[in-house]
Amino acid sequence: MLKMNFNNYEMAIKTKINGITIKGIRGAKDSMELPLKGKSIVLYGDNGTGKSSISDALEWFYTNRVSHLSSNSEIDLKDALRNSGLSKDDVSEVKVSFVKETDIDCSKTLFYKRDNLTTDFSNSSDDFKKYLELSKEENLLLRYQYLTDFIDNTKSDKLKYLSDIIGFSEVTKKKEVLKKSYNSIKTEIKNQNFEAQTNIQKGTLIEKLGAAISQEENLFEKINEKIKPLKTGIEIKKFEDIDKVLAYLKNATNNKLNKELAFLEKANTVLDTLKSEVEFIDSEYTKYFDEFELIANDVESIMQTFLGELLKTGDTVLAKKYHKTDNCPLCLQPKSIEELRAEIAIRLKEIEESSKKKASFDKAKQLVNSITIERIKRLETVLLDPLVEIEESKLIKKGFTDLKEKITEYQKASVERVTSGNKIPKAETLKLLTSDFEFQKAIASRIKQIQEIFKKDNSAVLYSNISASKDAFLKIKLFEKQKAKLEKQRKSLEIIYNEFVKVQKEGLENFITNFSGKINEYYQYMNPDEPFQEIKIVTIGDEDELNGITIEYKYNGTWVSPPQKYFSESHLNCFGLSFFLASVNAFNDKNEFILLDDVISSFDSNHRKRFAELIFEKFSKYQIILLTHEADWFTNFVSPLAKKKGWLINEIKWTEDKGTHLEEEPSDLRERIETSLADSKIDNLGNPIRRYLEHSLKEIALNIEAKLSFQYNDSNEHRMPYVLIMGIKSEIKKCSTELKAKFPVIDRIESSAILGNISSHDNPFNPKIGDLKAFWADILELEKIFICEQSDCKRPMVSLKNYDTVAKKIRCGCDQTKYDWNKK
Amino acid sequence: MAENVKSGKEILDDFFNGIETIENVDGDIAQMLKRLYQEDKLTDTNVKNELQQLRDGDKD
Repeated sequence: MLKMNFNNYEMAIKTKINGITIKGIRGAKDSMELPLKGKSIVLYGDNGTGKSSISDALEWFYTNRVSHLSSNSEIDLKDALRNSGLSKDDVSEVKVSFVKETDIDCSKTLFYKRDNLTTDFSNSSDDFKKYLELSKEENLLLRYQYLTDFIDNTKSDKLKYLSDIIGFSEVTKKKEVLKKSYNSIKTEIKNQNFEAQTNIQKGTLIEKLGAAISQEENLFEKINEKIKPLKTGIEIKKFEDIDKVLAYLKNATNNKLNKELAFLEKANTVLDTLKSEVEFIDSEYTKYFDEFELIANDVESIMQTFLGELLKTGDTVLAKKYHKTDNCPLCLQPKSIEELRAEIAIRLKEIEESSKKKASFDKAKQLVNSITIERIKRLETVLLDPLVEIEESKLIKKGFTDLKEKITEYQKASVERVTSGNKIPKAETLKLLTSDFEFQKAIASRIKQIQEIFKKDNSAVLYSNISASKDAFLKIKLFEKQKAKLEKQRKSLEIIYNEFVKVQKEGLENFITNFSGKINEYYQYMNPDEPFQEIKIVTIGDEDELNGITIEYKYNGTWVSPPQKYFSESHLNCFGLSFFLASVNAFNDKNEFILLDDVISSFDSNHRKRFAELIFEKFSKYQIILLTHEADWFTNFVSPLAKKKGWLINEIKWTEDKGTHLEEEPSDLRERIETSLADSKIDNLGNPIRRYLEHSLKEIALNIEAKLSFQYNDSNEHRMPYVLIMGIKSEIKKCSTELKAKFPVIDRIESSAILGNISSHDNPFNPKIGDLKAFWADILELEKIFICEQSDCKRPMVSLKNYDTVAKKIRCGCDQTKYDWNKK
Repeated sequence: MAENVKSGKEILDDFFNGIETIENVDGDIAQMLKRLYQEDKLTDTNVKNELQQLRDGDKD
């Protein structure tokens, strides 16, 4: 995730590696040190020399896994990591030290503890833990076999991959919360059915006052008209005045009957409302029933959604070529990988549709549930009234109880699990019938009866009408307020949700545009003047629902997707490399180093050259650890360029004795030779001396531009010292009298019996110590001729690069060591 | 990568910090959502309950 948990201090320091030491890991048996001091390095190693031991060790250090080993369940990673030549007591180790951040230096060890391989970190500080946590999310290592990982992902996995990296999955979760909140308000508005409730109350107003009143003043005016003949002395100007009138009328009438009438009218209103909603309830239930049937008849497809993850994993296994034979990795039935992946794609598509069906079903189910709960609540307002218990209300109680039971049946159906195998009742068996409301006639009859009684008492009629009108009016106002509040919330949430979607889309597209730009820049750099233009990643989906990412490019002016359509393997790998480098650029906030393990194997020589130039030009601020087994590329292109840029250059070797190890630098070689000579440890010293001499002669030959016969690359690299001496002497003879005078030293080396015997690379000849010391002294004397001894000389090698054209001298950089030289 | 590219968290922080300035949005709802987000309690159940409380508390 991007810069979420790291404080400013930690983020300010960009991490580079000071040194890596690997011991007893993979091919490296002995300790293999890589002293980098923050510099980049290019490492050549033939196939089988174990150069990937370095990438394996670093990957394990940072992620506790090694992708090409961890993906195979038959391999025990810890066991596979250990060098096979180790004994049980040996400790395997990866030690990484950092430039300017010694507090996070750490050694990760792998050793046996009570017969179990155990891992341990030497650094348990919080700073190191934070560093390691952050590094796990960064792109530090790329291997050839994982170049096309992103391209091989499904569209939705591509989206998930990028979303996870930039923290967009959290944005999507928050969007879902806002969407659900907005939908819950919409459901509540529908559930309340304000229109039906209001219409019933309006009906009461018409019945009691003879008008559908919507304004307070009209209500007051109507009531004033009704009470005028009574001469109460009260003029209604506000609601409190209505209460005064009711109190006045109450004294003059039968209170018990009034209460009963109010109860009956309440019951009547609830029944009228429910009756008006029979079709509404039935239609919502029918929708739910249909959805239920649809899914219940195809429970398998719902169950399939649980298989989605398995299928996705299976597809990944095939896409990443972990399984290479043409059969199903699970049942082993013969089938081509392409066919298998196509079938998986179809099944995943079906599952996606099932998920959509289920979402629609859940919505219908939730609505029926909330509708029925609300209606039961309304029926209970009557059933909980004390008057429902009186003898006269027996029939009413039964009628309401029966209705409640019927609505409860709806409600039970709304909580039935679709996968239970149970059926839910058909809509027609639950639908409320006219007969369910039959008992309402008794209520109407009792109301009429009471009204007849009241007719003889005008005050009672008035009391009843005014009281009912007031209640109806206030209820209408209450419904209006409730509806307005819900509508206000709905509108706000709608605006917020839309704004959120806009911001999310802008954010993602902004990121993708920038990210695409980088991918295209790197790709075009490596593939100039090719027909694939404007490579970009694009989002797929509706306005508010992104569901995938794909890759497009213009091929001869026409947009093409997916890239596999016209891309060759080399192009696909090139895209993968560009994608990785763009990811490094975009997401690596803490680390400023990357390891590239044999990433150009499928490239032709031109693309290899362009790749090297890209790395040197665009990634110069990064510390690069570049591993390759491509000898020509390493020798003729990368090494000279790397040398100019101050990179370290080395070769990885393998011997049965030492396992994977690094070729020594001449300075290290010289130190070892001198220590061995001083300690008289001369066993096998012939070869190191030969290698050192060879290196010195090459440097001299290069700097005096000695002419040697043409040799192809490998042969050129392995020229014997004798051939080099011949070339050097021939050039000196032609150009320099002073240097010719130094021939005795060169001649001693040339005629030495040691040179004759060690001139073969694998010579087992072991001379006496005195002879070796004398031979070594001659080599150092030879070096003195061509290397300036002044400590402040910045270019100590006597070279034609420093040629003095006036004095006609070949010289070192400080002009202290010089010889006549006539250029021929 | 350009400076104006935001991470998911930055997008969320910016959105909820500025939610009260979105035109035609009820201030109480905006504040409520911002508070729930900052307290890491932004779930649909919490929002639903808070909306109910806002309706109950709104006397107008």
